[in-house]
Amino acid sequence: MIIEVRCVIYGKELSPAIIAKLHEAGVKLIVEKSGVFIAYRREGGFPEDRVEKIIESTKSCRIMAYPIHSIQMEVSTHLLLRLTKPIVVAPRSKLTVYATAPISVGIYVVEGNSRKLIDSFGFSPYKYALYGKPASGIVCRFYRTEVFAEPPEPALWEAVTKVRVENSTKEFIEVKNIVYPLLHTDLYVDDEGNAYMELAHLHIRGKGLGTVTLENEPPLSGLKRCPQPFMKLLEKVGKFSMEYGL
Amino acid sequence: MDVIEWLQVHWVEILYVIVAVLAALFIGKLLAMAVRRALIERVSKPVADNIVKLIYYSLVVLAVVMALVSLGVDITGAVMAGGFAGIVIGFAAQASVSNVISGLFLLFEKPFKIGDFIHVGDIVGAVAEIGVLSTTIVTWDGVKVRIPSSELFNSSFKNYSASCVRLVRVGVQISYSASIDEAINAILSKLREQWYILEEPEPVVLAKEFASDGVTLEVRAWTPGSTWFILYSNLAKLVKDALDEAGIEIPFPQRVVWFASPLKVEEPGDLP
Repeated sequence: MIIEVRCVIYGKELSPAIIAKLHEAGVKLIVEKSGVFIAYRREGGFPEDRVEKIIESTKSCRIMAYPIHSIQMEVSTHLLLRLTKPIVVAPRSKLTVYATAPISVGIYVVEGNSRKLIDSFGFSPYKYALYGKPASGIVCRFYRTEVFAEPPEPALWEAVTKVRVENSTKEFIEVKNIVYPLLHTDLYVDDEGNAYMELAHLHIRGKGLGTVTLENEPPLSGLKRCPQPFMKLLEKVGKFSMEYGL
Repeated sequence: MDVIEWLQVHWVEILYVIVAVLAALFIGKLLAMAVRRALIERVSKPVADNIVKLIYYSLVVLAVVMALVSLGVDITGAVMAGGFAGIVIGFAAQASVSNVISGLFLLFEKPFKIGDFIHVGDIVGAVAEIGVLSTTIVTWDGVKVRIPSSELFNSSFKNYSASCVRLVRVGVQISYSASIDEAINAILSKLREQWYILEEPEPVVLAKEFASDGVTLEVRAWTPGSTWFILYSNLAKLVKDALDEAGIEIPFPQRVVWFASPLKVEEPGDLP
């Protein structure tokens, strides 16, 4: 499926224009008001290709689209970004790169300060990979991405992520993998409806060893934080120790 | 001295003993909570629960013994009787003691946790409860099975949930006239379309042997532990679909039979 649409839907109320844009991407959404109910129907998308819900309609109730992490919680809560062109980081140096990460569309019903995720879908099947060894590794959502020097323009199914890479070793180190603990990773949107992922710091501690720390701030200024539908299990700093290769 | 008189003389000591025992119970509870909080992130829940119980009851027993001593009760006899009773009970309850010791080893070794699918003897199921004396497993068909700890400790078992990923294999034959490369590519491309098959380690198809009816291929694919059954129940179908779509036939069993002497064909008129 080849989709070429600009991502302008996130953080916005579901409008006919957004519904048409999603339709172009292969997902048919129908939102109809009938009496005291709103009938919501989706066809296409992943993991479920058909969803129907009836929502009680109130005066100020709105249906909003926000980006959410494209994972199936029962399968994995981590994201492995595979850089299609590995980066070689000079000894004792720091650099900042941008990449793209997969996201899905979360449809929320919003009433005042209360909101509920009523549906979520991706545009193609999610793929997973093992990071590490079968006996001790972890299953991660797998996504191949280019590396950019400037923030790229994300597609509908992508969020821009910024990574500060710091090599504190005395050697050149090649990096082709970055692992994110997604339960701690916030998503953001700009006014255009593009999606962004929290700023991450990759500290290279040795050959094939590193730590990814989430910096708890947006990758660019002026972004709004999105609702996080997944339960934040621990109020710890999001951190992942990469011990099976960078 | 009757009981009333004895109580009148020793009521202060009795009060002190009651307060001491209550304080010990209270402190025991607090200590148990603190130990539990400290252990819960370091060890599994069953281990933490059992350590907490051990600490709490040890403290209670100690408090009671100290209270009895402070009241002037001679506990030497009780200790000796207790020791003797211990020996008798020990002989009578060898199996239970063996289970307790095995259970403690299992709790610390942690070969499985609650929710893991294990295979012990001819029992396969999910671990529902891990106790010191026994472990409870709920089988696929919903039957609860209690396995004594000593039996579990002394036998080998498989833990299907120990790894986060699982490998599933299936064998298939293609005819000698079919292209092995084409068959491998068709199967791999079908497998890569499935979300529940891991990108890495990637699926593999091997030409394994020359069998009597065709070339045997072995298909191997990895999947997350949580989607194992999806792959297990679909892999053969995926392989068949891939070969069908590529127009590659799975050969039927066939035999080429040679006769030592030429066969004589008789016409119907030759029959007696």
